[in-house]
Amino acid sequence: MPPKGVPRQSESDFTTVERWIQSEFDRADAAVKPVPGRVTARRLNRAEYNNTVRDLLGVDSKPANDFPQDDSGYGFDNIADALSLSPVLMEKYLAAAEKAVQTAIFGHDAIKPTVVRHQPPYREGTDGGNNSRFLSTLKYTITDYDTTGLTLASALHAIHTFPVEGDYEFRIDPEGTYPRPSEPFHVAIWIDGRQVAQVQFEATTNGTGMEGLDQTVMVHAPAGEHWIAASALKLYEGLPPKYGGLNPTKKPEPAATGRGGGGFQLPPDATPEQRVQFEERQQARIAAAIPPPGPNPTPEEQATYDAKVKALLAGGGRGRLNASPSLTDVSFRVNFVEISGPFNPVVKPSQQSLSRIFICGERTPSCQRRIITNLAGRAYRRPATAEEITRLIALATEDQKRGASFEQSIAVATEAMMVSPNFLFRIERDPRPGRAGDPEHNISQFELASRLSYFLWSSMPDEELLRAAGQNTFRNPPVLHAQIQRMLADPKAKALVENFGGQWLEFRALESVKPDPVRFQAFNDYLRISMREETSLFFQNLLSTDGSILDFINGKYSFLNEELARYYDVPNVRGPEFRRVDLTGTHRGGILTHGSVLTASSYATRTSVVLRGKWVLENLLNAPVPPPPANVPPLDETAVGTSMSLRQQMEKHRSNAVCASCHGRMDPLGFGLENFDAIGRWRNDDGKFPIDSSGTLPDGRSFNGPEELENILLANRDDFAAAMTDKMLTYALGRGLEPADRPTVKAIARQVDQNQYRISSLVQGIVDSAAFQKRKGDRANDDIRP
Amino acid sequence: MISARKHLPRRTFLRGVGTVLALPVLDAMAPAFANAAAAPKAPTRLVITYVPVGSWPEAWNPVGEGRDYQMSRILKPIEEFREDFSVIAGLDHHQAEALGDGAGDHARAGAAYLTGVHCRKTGGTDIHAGISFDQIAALKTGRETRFGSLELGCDDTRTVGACDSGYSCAYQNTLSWRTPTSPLPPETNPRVIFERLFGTDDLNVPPEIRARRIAERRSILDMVRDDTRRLENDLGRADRHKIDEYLFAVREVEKQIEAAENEHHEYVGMIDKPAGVPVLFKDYLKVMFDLQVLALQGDLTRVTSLMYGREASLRTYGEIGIPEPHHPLTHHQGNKEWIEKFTRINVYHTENFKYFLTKLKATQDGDGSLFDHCAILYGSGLSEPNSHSKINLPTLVTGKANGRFKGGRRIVYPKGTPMANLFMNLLDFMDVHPETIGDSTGKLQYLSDLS
Repeated sequence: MPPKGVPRQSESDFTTVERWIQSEFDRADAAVKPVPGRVTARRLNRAEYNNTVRDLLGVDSKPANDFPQDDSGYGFDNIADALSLSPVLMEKYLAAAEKAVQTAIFGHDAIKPTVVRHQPPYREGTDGGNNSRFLSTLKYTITDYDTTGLTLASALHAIHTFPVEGDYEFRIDPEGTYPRPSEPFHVAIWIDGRQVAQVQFEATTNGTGMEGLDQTVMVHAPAGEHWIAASALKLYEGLPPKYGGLNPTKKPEPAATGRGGGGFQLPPDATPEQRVQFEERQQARIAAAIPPPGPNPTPEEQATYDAKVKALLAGGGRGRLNASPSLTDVSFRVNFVEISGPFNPVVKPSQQSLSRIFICGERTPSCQRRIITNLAGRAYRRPATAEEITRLIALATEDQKRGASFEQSIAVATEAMMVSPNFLFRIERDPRPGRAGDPEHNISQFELASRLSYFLWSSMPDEELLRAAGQNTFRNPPVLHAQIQRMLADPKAKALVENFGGQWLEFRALESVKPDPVRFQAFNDYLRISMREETSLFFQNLLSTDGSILDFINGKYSFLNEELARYYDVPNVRGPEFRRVDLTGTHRGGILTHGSVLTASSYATRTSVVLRGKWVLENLLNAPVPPPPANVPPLDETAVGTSMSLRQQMEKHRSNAVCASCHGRMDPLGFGLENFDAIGRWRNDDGKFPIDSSGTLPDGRSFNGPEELENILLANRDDFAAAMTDKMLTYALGRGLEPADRPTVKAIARQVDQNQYRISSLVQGIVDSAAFQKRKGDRANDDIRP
Repeated sequence: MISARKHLPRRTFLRGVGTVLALPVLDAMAPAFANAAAAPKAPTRLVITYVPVGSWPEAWNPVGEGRDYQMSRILKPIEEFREDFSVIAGLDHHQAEALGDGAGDHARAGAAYLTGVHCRKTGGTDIHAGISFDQIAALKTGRETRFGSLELGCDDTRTVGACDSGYSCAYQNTLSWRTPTSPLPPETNPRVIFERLFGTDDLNVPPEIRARRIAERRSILDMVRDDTRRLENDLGRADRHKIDEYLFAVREVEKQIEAAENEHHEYVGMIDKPAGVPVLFKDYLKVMFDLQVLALQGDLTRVTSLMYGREASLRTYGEIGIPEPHHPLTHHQGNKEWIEKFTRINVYHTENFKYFLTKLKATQDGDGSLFDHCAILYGSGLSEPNSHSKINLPTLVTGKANGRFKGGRRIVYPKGTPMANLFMNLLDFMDVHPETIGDSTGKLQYLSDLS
C-alpha cells in the first residue's frame, strides 16, 4: 500500500508485481532443500515430567508442579534450547523421584494435615458492608434461576489439589445476610461438578451479617487437582413472602422493629430538597440497572423497558432501608472455604502402581533383574543396555547389603533411573558423533516413538508403542498412521489440547488473567474454569472426531455448561456439566467467540483491538507483526468511552504513517471483535458509543461484525492451515522453525487442504515429514556459538 | 528472631506443623545458630532486591547531593534508615540499550541488570548473557555454605506465548546467570523454598533409615554420573552442553548431601512452614523476606536475590486500589493519572522493603545484627519506563557490609558511569576481586571512605 496521498499504481501493474513477488518466494522456497534440522537433547518440561511419572509408576501426584518454571521460546515451553537445568531443579528431581517411587511401592507417607484457604482476592479488604457489587450478576427471573447456586455470585469456585485420597474438612465461611424468618438453607460442596456434601445455615436477623457463622463438614476427596465449589442451594426459596421468591416460608413475620428493614422510601414529611434528591437517586439507580432501549425503540422494546423500571422501583432495589425488599437484598455469599486434611488418608500403594513395577512376584535375583530391565526400558524409552542393567542391579544389591529389603532395592534402582539423563532428557544419538560426512540420518525407531508420544501425549510411549517401535515395520506410513489414530483417540491426547492448544491459542493465560474486578464484577473463578474447559473440549472434540480444523474459525457449535450458556445468552442449558450445544442463531461460533480467547487477548481494564488483531494475525494467519518501535505513544485510555470512542482513538493513532503500516493490518481484525468486551461478553455499546465492528483490510476486503470477519478468515483458509501447521510443527519438534522448514510447512498445509482439513491429516503430515523423522548430523550443526 | 512467627498471617501456615521442627540430619541447618556467638567474624552477605519496570524519576530522585539531600516520595517510607543507605545517581546500563538490536528493552534490562552484558537477541536457541556478579560472589562464598545462592521471585504466572520482542523469556524472568548460557530461574513458591532450605522429610524417620537414605542418594548420584560420562561420548556439541549443565547440577547436590552429613544440628523453627503463595502481595513479600533472613542467618547461603516481579511485570495491585497491570501503566505518555498510579506502586514497594530492613536490623548475627553484615542493592534495570531509559538507574545501597559501607548520602556520579562499576564495589565488600565485570571501567569512589 502506498502511504496515503501517494497515488496507487494501476491494478494490473499491482497484480503483475504481486504475482512476480509470490513466484520469486516460491522459487526461493523450492530451492531450499528441506533439511530435517537438529533438536538439542530435550529436558522433560513440567507437564511432560508429571505425565511420564504417571505412566511409568502409576502415581499421579504431579510432582513437577513444585519445580521452577520452564522458560519458553517460540511461544512454547517445550523448546529444547530454552530448557535449562539448574542445581535447584536437580535437587527437586532427586526428591521427586524418591517420593514418587516410595509412593508407588510402599504407599503414601503419613501426610500431616494442612489447611488451605480459598478466597477470591478481590473480596479481601473491600468494603465488607457493601454487598451490592456482588449481586450485579443476578440477571435471572425468579422462575428461572440456577437452583444449584453454582452460577450465582454467592458461590465460590477454586481449583484445589488434594495430596492424597482421604477425608478433608471443609470450613465454609459465610458473609452477607439472609433474612429472618426464612427457612434454614443449605450450602453444597461440589467436587468436579458433583455434589458431595451439604451444610445448613440459619437465617440472620435483618441487618446483621453472617460473618463468623462458619460451618464445617467432612468430605472424602480423591487425590489430585480438582475443581471445588461451595454454593447455596435454592437460594431464593423459603424466604419471607415479601421477598417474592418461590415457595416462601410460612413462618410469621416478627413484629416491625422501627427502622430496621425499612425501605428506601420518601418519608411523608420530606422537604422539597429531599424530594428532588430522591428523584435524582431513583433516576440514577434506573440508569445503572437497566440499559435504555436505544434511540428509536420499538413499542415492544419500550414496553419491556418500562416494565423493568417498574419492577425495579417496586422491588425497592438494594437500599438497606427497604420496606418492600426483593431478592437482591439476599446478600448471602460464601466468603471463603478452608480445606484441611488429609484425615484418614488412603496410604496403601495402588494396585496399578504395584502391577506396573512388580511384573514377577518372587524375591529372587532373577525376578529383580526382570523388574529392573522392564522398568529401565520404559524409563529410558528404549531397551536398556546390558551395561546399564548391570549397574542398576549392582546398585540394588549394594542397597540390600546395607540392610534394605527387596522392595527397597527395587526402589533405589528406580530412583536412579529417574535422575539419570536417559530419563530426564530425550536424547537422540548420532550414529557417528562429531565426525563429518553425516549431514542427516533417520532417528532410531525408539527415538521416533518418543517424539510421537511426547508430541501427542506429552508423555512416554506406552507398551504398545514401544512394542511397535521394536519391529522393523514401524516406519511404514500405514503402521505409523494407525498408531496416530489410536493415540489421538486415547484420553491422554488431552495433553495435546492443553499443552499445544493452551499455548497456541493462549488460553493457558486464563489461569493468570486478572480482569479489573470493579469493571468486570461478572468475572469469577467459575467463569474462568468454564471458559477454559469450553475451549479445551472444543479442541478435544476435533481430535476425537477427526473434525475439520476450519471449525476453529466458524464451527457453529461449542461445549457449554449453565454458567457459560447464561453468560453467552444461550437458552436451555442447565447444570454444571458441559455438553455440545448448537449455536446457530447466536453471536457465537468459532474460537474467536470463545470467552477464553477474548479474555486472554484483552487488557485487564478494556479490550484491545491491537492485541486481538495481533492474536489473529500471529495465531490464525501466520503473519506475525514486528514489534512496535520504541517510544510508541500508547492509547489514552481515560478518554475512551467518554470523550472519544475507541475507534476514534485508534484512528487518530493510525494517522501516523509508520504506525499505520502495521496497525492497518492488525486493527481492522481487532475491530471485528469489538462486540465482545474484555471478558468476552456481547455488547452493543462501549461507554456511550455504539460499537462499530466493521473494518477494511489492506487488500480492500471489508466486513461488518464478527461473522463476516470469520468469513474472510475462511476465505484465507490456506493461511490458516499454514499458521496452524507452523505452530504445531514448532511444538512437535521442540525447536524454532528455520527458512529450510518453509517447504515442509507448505507441503503439510497442502496435504491438509487435500484432506478436507481433517485434523488427523495435519498430525500425520507432521509425523511423516523429514523434519520429524530425521536429524541433521552433528557437524552440519554449526549454529552453536562458543 | 523467634518472634518472627507472629509476622505471618495464619492462613499462610500449615496447621499441624509445630513451632519446633527437629529436622533430620540430612536437612539439618548449618551450624551458624549454635556457633554464631563463637564465630570470630561474621561473613559478609550480598542481598539484591529488584524492582521491575523502573520508576518515575521525579518521584524516585531526591533533591540535592551529599548529606543534606531532601528525601524523595518513593524513598520516604524508609526515611528512618536514612543514615544507613545511600541513594546512588548517575549509573547507566549501556549494554541494555538496543545497540542495533531493535525492540526488546525489557528483556535487555533484565539480562544486563546483574551482568553488565548485552544479551544475544534470540527466542530460544543459544541464549547468551553473561555471568552475573552475584554468581561471581557465590563462586567463592558457596564453598562454605550449603547453597551457593538463593534466587527468589514473586511472579507466579506461567509465561504464555512469546516474551519481549524476539527475546527468550529467560532474560526477563531471571537476574542471575551462573554462566552466560545458564540462567538461574527464581523460585516463586514460599513453601518450596522453605522445603529446599529445611527439607521435606518426615521428622519421625529413625536415624538408621535416615542414614541409609543418605547412602542411597550418594550411590544413586555416583551411578548416574558414571552413566553420564559414558553417554557424553555419543553426543554432539549442543547436547553435550546440556549434559554439562546436568553434571554441574549433580555436583552441587552432592556437595549439599556432604554438607548435610557433617552437620548434626537441630533447627529450632522460627517461622512455620508457609502453605503456598499468599493472596496479598504484602504477605507474599513478607514471607519472601523472612525466608531470606532465615537462610542468611543460618548461613545456609551468603547470596540472595528477590525479584519483586519479572521485568515488564503485569502484576495488578488491587490491594492498594490499582487494578491495572503494572507494565502498561508505566507507558504513561505523560498521562498524570498513570504516573501517579505506578508511582504509588513504587511507594508500596519501598513500604514493604522497610519490613526487610527492620527485620535484618533486629536479627542478631555474631557480634552485631544481620544488617551490619549485609551489602544490599535495591533498584531497577530501567529508570524512566515510558521511554525504556537505562540512564541514571534508580539505585540504593544499604547494609553495613561489615563496616565497609557507610550510607547517609546521595551520591551523584558523572554521566555515563557504568552500573557495573558498583558491582565491583559490592564484590569488594565480599572479598572477591575480579578484574572487570561486564562493561565496568573501575570502582566507584565515596562508598566507603566517607568523612
